[in-house]
Amino acid sequence: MTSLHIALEDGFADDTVVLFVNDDEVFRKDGVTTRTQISLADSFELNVPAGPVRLRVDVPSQGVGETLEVDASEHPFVGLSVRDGGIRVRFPEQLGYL
Amino acid sequence: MKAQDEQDAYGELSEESDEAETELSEARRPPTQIAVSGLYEVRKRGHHAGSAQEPLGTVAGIRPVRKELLRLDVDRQYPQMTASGTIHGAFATRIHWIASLSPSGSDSWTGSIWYKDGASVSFPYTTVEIRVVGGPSPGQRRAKVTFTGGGAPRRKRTFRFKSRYYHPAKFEFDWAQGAAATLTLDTCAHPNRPATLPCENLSIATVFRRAGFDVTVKPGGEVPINEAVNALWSDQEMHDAMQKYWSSFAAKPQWAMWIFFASLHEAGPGLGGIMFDSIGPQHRQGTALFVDSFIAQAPAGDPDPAAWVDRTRFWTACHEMGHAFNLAHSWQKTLGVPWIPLVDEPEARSFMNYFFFVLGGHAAFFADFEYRFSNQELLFMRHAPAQFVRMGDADWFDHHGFQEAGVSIDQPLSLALRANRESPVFEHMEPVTLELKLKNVSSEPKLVDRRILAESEAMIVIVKKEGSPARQLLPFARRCYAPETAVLMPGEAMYESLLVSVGLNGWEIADPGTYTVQVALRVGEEDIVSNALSIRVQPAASREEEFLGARFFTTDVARIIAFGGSRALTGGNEVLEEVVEELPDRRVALHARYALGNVLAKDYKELVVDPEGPEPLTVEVREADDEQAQGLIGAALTREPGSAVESFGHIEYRRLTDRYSEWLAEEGDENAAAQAQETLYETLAARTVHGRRIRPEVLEEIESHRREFASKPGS
Repeated sequence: MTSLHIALEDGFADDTVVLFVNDDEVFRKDGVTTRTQISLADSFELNVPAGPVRLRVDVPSQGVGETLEVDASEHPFVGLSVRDGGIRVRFPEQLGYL
Repeated sequence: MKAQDEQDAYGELSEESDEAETELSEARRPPTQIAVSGLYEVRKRGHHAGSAQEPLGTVAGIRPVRKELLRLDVDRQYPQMTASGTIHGAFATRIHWIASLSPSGSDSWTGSIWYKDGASVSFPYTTVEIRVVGGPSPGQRRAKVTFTGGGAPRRKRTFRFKSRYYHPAKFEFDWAQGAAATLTLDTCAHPNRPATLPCENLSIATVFRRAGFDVTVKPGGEVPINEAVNALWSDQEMHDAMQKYWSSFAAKPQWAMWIFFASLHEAGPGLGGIMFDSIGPQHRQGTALFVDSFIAQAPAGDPDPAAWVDRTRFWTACHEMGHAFNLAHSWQKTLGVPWIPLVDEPEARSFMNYFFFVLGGHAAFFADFEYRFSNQELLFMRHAPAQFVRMGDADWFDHHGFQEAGVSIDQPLSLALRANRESPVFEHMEPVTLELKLKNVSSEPKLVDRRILAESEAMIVIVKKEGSPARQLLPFARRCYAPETAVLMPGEAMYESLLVSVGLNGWEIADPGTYTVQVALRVGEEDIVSNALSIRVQPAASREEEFLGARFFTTDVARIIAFGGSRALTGGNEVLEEVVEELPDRRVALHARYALGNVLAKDYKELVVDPEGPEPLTVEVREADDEQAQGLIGAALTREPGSAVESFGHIEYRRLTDRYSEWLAEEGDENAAAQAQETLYETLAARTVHGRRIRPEVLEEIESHRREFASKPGS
């Protein structure tokens, strides 16, 4: 197992966010809201299997979701934002907010 | 340090008419060689709008104009080729406009007005022409502005140069024990930089001066580490420290902010800085950066890690301070509620971007970065309405009110707004009547107009439902009285009732919920602002009441309630009759009975329009119905006097009862007139609100009035 750092960034407003890794629900939280002054709503670590995993993020309160493949050894940090009716994903070298 | 020839004093400008101004002729005036951008002002005291030079109109009571500002932005640092202006009228009334400019001659510009905010109905202009005249000295500089278009007569103003900056800004930098404050930066210390970047020891103050702000820096100091838990700072701890250590802290909007340098936030090293002040009623007054966070870790292989860290700390400070000016991140411009349509700038080389977000990362960012804000951001900071930018400010009337009013600190008069009941809760459909108290809180007698509290021209009433924008209550009628001076002795007060439910725009208070009401009163040259009173309207007590409410909250019924009755608005009267029948025990029925009865108490003149008849306009007289009038008014005022006095308010209840007694006496029933006064006396004598009883002199007046009626023949 290895660590995958997730940051829920822009576009969340009292939303429910659910994450699945390889179809297993690994995270669920209500009331997720972006602090726009730092563009961050929440951040946490997931323990995921080594190698490529299927990461699905659902925001049912906004009716959006996205499935992506990520290898934590190559991209240990994942930033997720809700923009323009969908989920935007970025893979920063580190998570930092200002 | 400012160059001596650019210094200009703030403060009151002497009043000067255009006729008295010395103006150079076109042939003799040399083109100005120096920059002309900055803040210009005209301030007219005692001048009333309505003259040919100032056709500002009458909507929303913008006249008289107290102050008018012009921001001309055509040269100096990062010119935006923009002009903006703010016209301040009585109380909080103002008009804000913005125009894009193109050169139209020597020291002349013209452009279209593309933005208006405030009482803009009074400002129909679409084009502005600006010509700067005067000698080399800033004190001689004038901006002659002509507004045209919009179907209005040409409007000309002459502004006097006041400052090269558009707004003031006061910064105070404090630091936690062990944290260093990075306030300056050697711009050439790090090798990765634009080739054209001037080498200088750049200060944070200079960054914001170049953005257009007259920056003053107050000396800061160290905040003890024991203010935080484990040297990690939470937002709440920083907010407390701000209130304790910031010498300029105040619970009001002001062009001032506190910047705090600390080691780390409790969120960990991933948070490099934050505009933490989203607690309490005034936001955006405090920012912080965390010197030991990720911003202190230069990337591997960087050619000068120490310079990289210094630069990042400096940059982060300016970034967080930008948030205090209400700037969003560069990629967030379209999120939330932008002040104008904006575009996202994900590749902007601005303080408001993340240097690690752009294509190519920090190396690409700083290779191109000139230590500035973007043009879109400068436009906002310099020219947006002040309340959008200023620290501690908020949406109109959210947590504040009338901050633009000419309120001085030591006011001899105070204005209190209250609902004369234990709890400011009103029934569904119950018209809301509040009371005003204007008191002399000084040690000297004050002269005021006797009817100042009844004069709608002198007053602005703002009503705001929770979750909705504030609205100005526009009265159905404006009454102009002959001035009659009264003397308010120290400690003495005058009172008046104020119906706030209805106005020209219909029902301002209708749906269940919480409302805030605030009043500003113009007394001489000063604005006296009341407390912001919060009231609550209950939901309907039944489905029937809810359905009737839909028919009650109409403009016709609003007019009937406001004017105390109508014979012409028959549809509204039918609704009131239904209220009396269906909701006899509800407080709205008191008001309905009174309005229905009041117009029956005397012969009523009605203008009848008959285009086909021999006389197209005639006045018909509808005879009074004394019996029905007495039945309805008596039921409204005396059947349940305890409810009536609370619903109408003490002042209005007494006024209506006095009028009722006078009418009864005129009709020959002095006994009933005295009885009504007896009921009035007993009701007010029994009344206690928040431990206060009715003043004895008021009860004595009522008793005296009762005796007058009782002593008359026929009583």
